[in-house]
Amino acid sequence: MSQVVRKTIPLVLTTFIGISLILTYFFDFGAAGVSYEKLLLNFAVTIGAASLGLGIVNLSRLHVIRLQRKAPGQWYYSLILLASMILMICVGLIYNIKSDAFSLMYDATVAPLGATMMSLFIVWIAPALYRSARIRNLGSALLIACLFIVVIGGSPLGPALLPFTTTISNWLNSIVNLASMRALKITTAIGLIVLSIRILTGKEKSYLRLGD
Amino acid sequence: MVSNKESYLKKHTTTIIIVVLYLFYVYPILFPFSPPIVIGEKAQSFYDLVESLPDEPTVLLTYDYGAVSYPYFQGFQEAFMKHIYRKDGNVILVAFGAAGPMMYKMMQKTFAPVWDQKTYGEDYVFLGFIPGGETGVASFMADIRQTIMIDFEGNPIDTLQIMENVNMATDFDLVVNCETSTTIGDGFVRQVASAYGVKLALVGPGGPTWEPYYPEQIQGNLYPLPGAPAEYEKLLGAPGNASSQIGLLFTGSLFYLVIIICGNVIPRIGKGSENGNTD
Amino acid sequence: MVTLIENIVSIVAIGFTVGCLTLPLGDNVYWKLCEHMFLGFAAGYTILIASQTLQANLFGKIGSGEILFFIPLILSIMLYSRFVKQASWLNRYPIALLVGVGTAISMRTIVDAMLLKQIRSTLINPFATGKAIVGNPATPINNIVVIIGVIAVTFYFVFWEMKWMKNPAIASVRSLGILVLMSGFGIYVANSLVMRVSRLGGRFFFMLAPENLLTTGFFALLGAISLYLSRKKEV
Repeated sequence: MSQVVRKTIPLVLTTFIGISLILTYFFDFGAAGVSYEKLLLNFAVTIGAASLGLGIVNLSRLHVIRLQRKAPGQWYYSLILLASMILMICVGLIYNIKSDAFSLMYDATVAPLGATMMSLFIVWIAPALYRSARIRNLGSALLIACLFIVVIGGSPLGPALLPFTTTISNWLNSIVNLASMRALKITTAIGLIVLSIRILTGKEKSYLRLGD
Repeated sequence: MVSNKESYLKKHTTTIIIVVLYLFYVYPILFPFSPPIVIGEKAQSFYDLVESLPDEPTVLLTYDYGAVSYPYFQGFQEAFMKHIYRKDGNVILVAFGAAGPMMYKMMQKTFAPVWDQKTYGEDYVFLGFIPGGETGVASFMADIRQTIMIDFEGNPIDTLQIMENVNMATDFDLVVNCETSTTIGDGFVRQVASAYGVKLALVGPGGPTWEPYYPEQIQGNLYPLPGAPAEYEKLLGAPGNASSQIGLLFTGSLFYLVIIICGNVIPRIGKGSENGNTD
Repeated sequence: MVTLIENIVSIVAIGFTVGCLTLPLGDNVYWKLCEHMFLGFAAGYTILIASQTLQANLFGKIGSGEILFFIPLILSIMLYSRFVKQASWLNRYPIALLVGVGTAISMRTIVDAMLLKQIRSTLINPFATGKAIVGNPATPINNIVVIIGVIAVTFYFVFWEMKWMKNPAIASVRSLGILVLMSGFGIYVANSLVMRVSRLGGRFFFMLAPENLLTTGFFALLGAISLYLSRKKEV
């Protein structure tokens, strides 16, 4: 009974929900079918909102443990992290997330920090390109050639320096890129369909931490 | 035998590259210049798509990006909304990304000169954040009122004039998704274009990956950023944030081309190099 | 007129921006502070936005009499059972619902959007006038390039087993597929580069605006000191 409740029922639930939603899309079950579909979608969206807190709880737990153990070289950073989180929550609760005051808090903290961190990627890519973007064979030569032409044609470099690259860049984007991406879409779709069938038939259980 | 200077350069290659990168970024800000903006095919076709909409269109515009992408999406979204207002249309804003509400708050300040002339709830409305990614999109497109009861400002949906005849995807004349990821764009194609046959335009760095959908499944695919939004701003005669970054885009792109050339040439020139594999 | 609070917001934002930009030059205390503060503030914001969404859409619906919405409420609580060892299996029920719904809604449109329409768009008569895949200009040459490219790349992914490599025809088509893929990858990286250039540019525009130069200089000095001290500590 315990195994049925812990393992079998969740698998059956996934299969039932998945197949029923596919059937409601392709067949007309009247108003009941439409209501059922909308209700399930709503439930999923609501649970999705609740799941946003999962990572935060895990993060908090980790840093509270570090703080309790006074992990050398780390505990003060954990204290700063938890203090920042509590400060943000307090401001949000006192002033409300829709208020201008909270917006200013966001503009001062999350916005510049997040924006700069995400833009650091382009800084790291510079030395990576220096080391790895080297012509070794025909494939890498084509890669670098296309990269050059599209960067020149797709940026203000093209119109200013080499106007003909804009036309070639458009052709590469619209034709060569289309060919490779279309094939990727087709093969990805086949892979996703196979994965979906595995999930709906209960063969794929890793998402429930059950193993095959 | 390698000299001290050469070994110093080899040891600090990364630092030197990064410092030069920062200088390439600083130059156009301290000495601004504006290279010409040439209208590309993608910007022109997006402009034509909006022009082809019926009068008084109702469009959905999404915030699926965060602060890092705000500079170029903000310019595009403001230009797009001005274009829609020229046709006496309405804009319904919604966020499928968690940072969306804050992007809307930022836009309230920068777009104030236009929105002060408009009425919230009649000419535009922000419905708030809908979590769940593709599931959220599917739920929203199937039934808006079942998905959200109140807008971001706390008004019940049913009290908003703009939402009177709008409850699902087919009530929109055009859906424009602005996002920084590459995955939810495919979700929009599946849940909007494929499921309901509604006109859809995608704006974001995933442009190359959405090319197979264009023009049969999606009618607009605006990339590369921020060049294409800058071209769109020029078409409208409304230069904004995207246009102001063109000088920096010039030097920034030039830097990466120079780096790739150096990466291929310098190791080959260097003594003891073998197939360009030294570092 | 810029108020005092907006000035403080600018100063704090510049401080954080400069702190993050010191990381590529070396790990240091200034960067670590910024990193942990970002995690904290972002976590706080996520909790607020999640609770606001739940308040509006879950508790609002329960409050207006929709009893069925007790189900997602209970499932949402069960989601957090993963932190209690004895009850962690309860977590499987909300995940089963999420995965079931997500799988179904994507699968029911993937076949049309990503498979049938793509194949239909590829297998056309390349010489038929007025019918183009897309292109600028739309010519039979473009159509032929796309058809051959799509087939070659598909061959590359489908015929991946070693036994197929011995067939010279398949091997050569796969080689063509690799070349098309590499070109497509180069195009994707190029578009991505151009986009990301402007991301960092936005930060530099903000820091080097005339009214912010002094503040940027001050924090840059702090960053330099932090980098020097951390390098001294390493040595």
